[in-house]
Amino acid sequence: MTPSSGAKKSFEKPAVRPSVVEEALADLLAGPFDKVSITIPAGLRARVAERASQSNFSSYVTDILAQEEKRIALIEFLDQLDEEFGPPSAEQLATADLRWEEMWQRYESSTALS
Amino acid sequence: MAALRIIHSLVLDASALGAASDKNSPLRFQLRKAAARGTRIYTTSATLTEVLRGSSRDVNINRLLTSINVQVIDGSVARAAGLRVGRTSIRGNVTIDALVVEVASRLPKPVAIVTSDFKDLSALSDPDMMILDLSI
Repeated sequence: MTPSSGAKKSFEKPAVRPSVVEEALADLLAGPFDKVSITIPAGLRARVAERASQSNFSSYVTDILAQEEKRIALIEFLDQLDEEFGPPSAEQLATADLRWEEMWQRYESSTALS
Repeated sequence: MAALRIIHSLVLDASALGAASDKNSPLRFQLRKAAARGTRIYTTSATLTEVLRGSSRDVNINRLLTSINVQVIDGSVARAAGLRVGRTSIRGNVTIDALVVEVASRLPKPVAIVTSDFKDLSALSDPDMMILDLSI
C-alpha cells in the first residue's frame, strides 16, 4: 500500500529517533527479574515487615528502588536543562515560589467556597 | 511563616508535561523541589497521546518521561472516567482530562494535578484533590 499524498512528511522520517522513544517508554518494572540477596538492619526489616508481608516484600522494595531511581533521573534531567538553559536566576526561583504559592492559594480559595 | 505545601503525588497533564521542560517555566524549578521532597511525579498513558507528535519538541518530553511514572489507562479507569464526566455539566471534549483526574484519584494522597485547564479539571475532580493552575 502506498502512502496517501496528504501524508505528513514526519511519518516517513520521524524527527525523533526510535531509540529515544523506546528508552523513554522503557518500564523499569518490566521483567526479566533477577534474584538478589541484600543485607539490611534487622530493626529496619522488622519495621518494613509491618507494611509488607513476606510475600510482597520484593515488590515493596522494588517499588521504592524504582521510585528512587526515577527521582534521581528527574534531578539529572533538570540538571541537564540547567546546563542547556543556564541555571535559574534568583529572580526565576523567587517567581517560581510565588507562582506555586498563588496556585495553592487559588486551590484553598476554591475549596473554601465549595 | 508560610504553610508547608507537602504533596505525595503530583500529576502532570499535557500542558504541564510541556511546561516542565520549558526554559522559563516556574514548574521546572518546582519539579526540582518536589523531587527533593520525595513527591512522586505521574502522568497518564492517554496524556502521551495528547503531547507526543514525533517532532523535535518530543525529545525533552521523552527525557522527562524516563523519570516519572506513566499510569496506564485500563478498562476500569476508562469506565470510571466516563462516569465522572457524566456527573458534571461540562460541554465539550474532556475525555483525557477525565482520565487524568480518575488516575489521580487512585494515587496516594495528598494528590495534586498541575494543569493550565483549571476550570475543567476542577469540575471533574474530587473535593480532596488539588488542582494547581499553571496558567496564572
